[in-house]
Amino acid sequence: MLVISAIIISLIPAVLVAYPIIRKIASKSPFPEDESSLKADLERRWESALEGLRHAELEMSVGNVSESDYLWLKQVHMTEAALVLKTLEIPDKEKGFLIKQTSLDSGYEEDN
Amino acid sequence: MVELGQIALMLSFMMATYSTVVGFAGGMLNGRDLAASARWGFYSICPLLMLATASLIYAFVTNDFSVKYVAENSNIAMPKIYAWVAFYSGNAGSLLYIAVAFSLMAGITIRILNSKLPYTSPYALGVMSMVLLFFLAVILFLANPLDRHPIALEDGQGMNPLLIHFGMFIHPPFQMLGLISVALPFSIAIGALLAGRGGRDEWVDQGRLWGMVSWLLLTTGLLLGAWWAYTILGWGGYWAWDPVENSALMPWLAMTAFVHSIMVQKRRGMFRMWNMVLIIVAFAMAQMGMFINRGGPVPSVHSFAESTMGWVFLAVMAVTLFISLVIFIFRFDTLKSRSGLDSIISRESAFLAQNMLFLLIAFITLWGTIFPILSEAVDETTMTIGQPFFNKVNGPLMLLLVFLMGIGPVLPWRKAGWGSINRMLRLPLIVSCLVFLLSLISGIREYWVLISFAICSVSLVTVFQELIRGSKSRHSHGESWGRAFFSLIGANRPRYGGYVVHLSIIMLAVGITASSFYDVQKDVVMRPGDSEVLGKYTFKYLEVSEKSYPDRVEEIAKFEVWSGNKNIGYMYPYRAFYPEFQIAATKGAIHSTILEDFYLVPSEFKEDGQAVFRVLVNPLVSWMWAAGPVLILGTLIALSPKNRTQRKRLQLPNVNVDQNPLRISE
Repeated sequence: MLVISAIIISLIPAVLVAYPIIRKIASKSPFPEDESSLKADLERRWESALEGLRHAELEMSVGNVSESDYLWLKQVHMTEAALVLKTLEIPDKEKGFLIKQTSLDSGYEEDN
Repeated sequence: MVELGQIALMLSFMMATYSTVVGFAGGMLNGRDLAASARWGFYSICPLLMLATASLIYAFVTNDFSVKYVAENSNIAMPKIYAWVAFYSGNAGSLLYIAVAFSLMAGITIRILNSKLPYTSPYALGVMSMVLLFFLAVILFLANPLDRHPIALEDGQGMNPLLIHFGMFIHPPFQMLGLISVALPFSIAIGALLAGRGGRDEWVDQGRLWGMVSWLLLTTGLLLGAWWAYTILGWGGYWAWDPVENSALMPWLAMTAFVHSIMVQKRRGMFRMWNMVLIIVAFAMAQMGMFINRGGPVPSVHSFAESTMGWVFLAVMAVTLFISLVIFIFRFDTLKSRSGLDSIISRESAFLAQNMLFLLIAFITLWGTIFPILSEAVDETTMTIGQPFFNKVNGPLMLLLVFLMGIGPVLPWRKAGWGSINRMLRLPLIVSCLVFLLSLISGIREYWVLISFAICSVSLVTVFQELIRGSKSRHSHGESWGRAFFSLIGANRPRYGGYVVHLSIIMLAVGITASSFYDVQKDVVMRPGDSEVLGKYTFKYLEVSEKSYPDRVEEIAKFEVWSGNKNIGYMYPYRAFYPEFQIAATKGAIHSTILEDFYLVPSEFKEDGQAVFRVLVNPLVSWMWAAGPVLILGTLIALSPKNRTQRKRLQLPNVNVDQNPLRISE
């Protein structure tokens, strides 16, 4: 009984490690998006710029930052967002939409 | 069943070896099938270790004293429910617990990493497998809990009676889980370095996520440990700067620094090297904790029995640290920050200052903890460093941290002009001055208490100011107050979850300050019928009764207690004696209110009817225990994922950018 049980529990991991190699399941599927690709990096920077804008809007709306600091912060993040868009190969029409999106994203601007 | 467990242990060792080698090979050769094979091999380890665990618990439940570990840690008299506690109450069993828990957590991490960081995950898998391999090697070759005795014994030695308590079901598992979970963000960070992918902040989101999970586990373990010491061990305190306590605190400090500074990397692409150093230090400190816990040479009231195993952990810590630093230096050039500090008055600067303080406290604690070894090595006399040193040196630094915790989160990223500083800090600073004056007027003369309360009030007011201002802003746009409050938190979960965590830290700071400076203690010798007074409490010793159990004899004192004129009922502190172990354990009786605890604990029952009791009044201790759930809630809010609308808003459209810039062949 012990021998049979031992064989069974040894077979399970053996099958698990052999299956992906024999059936080549990973290499048959399309390449996943590379986390280090330019696009992925730009997406992170885009997200960071938008987060910065949202944050600046939030700080302004709750009265945490002065007008001059707010304008400076907004300028910095808009420049970052614009730089990201400039690097991307997307049509000008979409760039315009995305730039507009940056100023709408905070949720506060919408109300104002 | 035990033999099956042994086979499962050996198989899991083989699988961990396979996952380590094939995981790294899959990463280096870009072999996706190899990486998948290594991953599936790793997934098989957890069920195998669960089988080994089940076989050990089965041996406990069936009193199979032919198993050495079972004979050493249980006996026939032990209630069966404690089989779970007995499982990790000894050195070998606790290692198996760590291995099975880590294999489960790492399996989940790898599953997520595979979709989020597909090119980093084989390396991270390799590192995690290597960590697990080490534990499995120690279990198999140095401390196997499934080893059998040459001859079966009729009864076991029994579990340490101090461990027979329901608190043992939760405190040690969390503590061990917390320490080993530091390996998760460490593996992700080192995996990213090995994959040559740390320079574009790829690993930051996953590093933050698992860093926070680890931080939550470590914090819960620490709080449960303090609560257990206070309510169960019966010495009236909750923290004694014992080496094992310190060994859990040090990685916690490093991880707290990490979960803050990783935010700066996420937002600004800064502190890339610093975060790598922090996570390496945190993992080294977690290993140091295991070294101290596993029979290292530092004396502690609650480490495992002294053994050579501690030195194995120390050696592995040294090797890990060395290899990690070599990898770090090798990838140094890729870790340059994307941008620099715009201003010294900014959130980034506050985080950096706070990071320095956390590390300073961690290294001071490390120095105080290992000082006995150093002193012995230098002049062969063991000098230990006690509570006063830690309190005097770390106390002020911790207060400074609470102050930074108050002002840091309200400073804007990048830079803050004086106008902004005035808006954000005017009210907190005014309130803190008022608190200082009011405390002074109310008779508080301890300057550390005055400073502590003033600093805590800065942090408290900034949190409430943020919540009120944010809700008010939403309310002014038509939302009801309740909706405004919850949608504010929902829209900015990391930020407001962080504030909730900060609230819990303020509760802890106030509780620690009050109970450290205003605790009152009295040792009294009483006969039945005697009454004594401490503060506003009057307590009358009514009688002592004796109760016999199979494993112990309990002497239970009965007290009637009044708070002022109000009768608050009876209290029953007791002392239990375990003849088999020649160990006595006391259990305090606590009457707890929101303002203070009245704590009674017996020291000695004499034959002539006299008894010695220690009586304490500890102010605001309940605030510390209440802080725990608040802290967990805050961390869960901060960790909760963005909702669909928020995620969608941040996405870029599908654009024509090179998807495979490294030209990886299929």
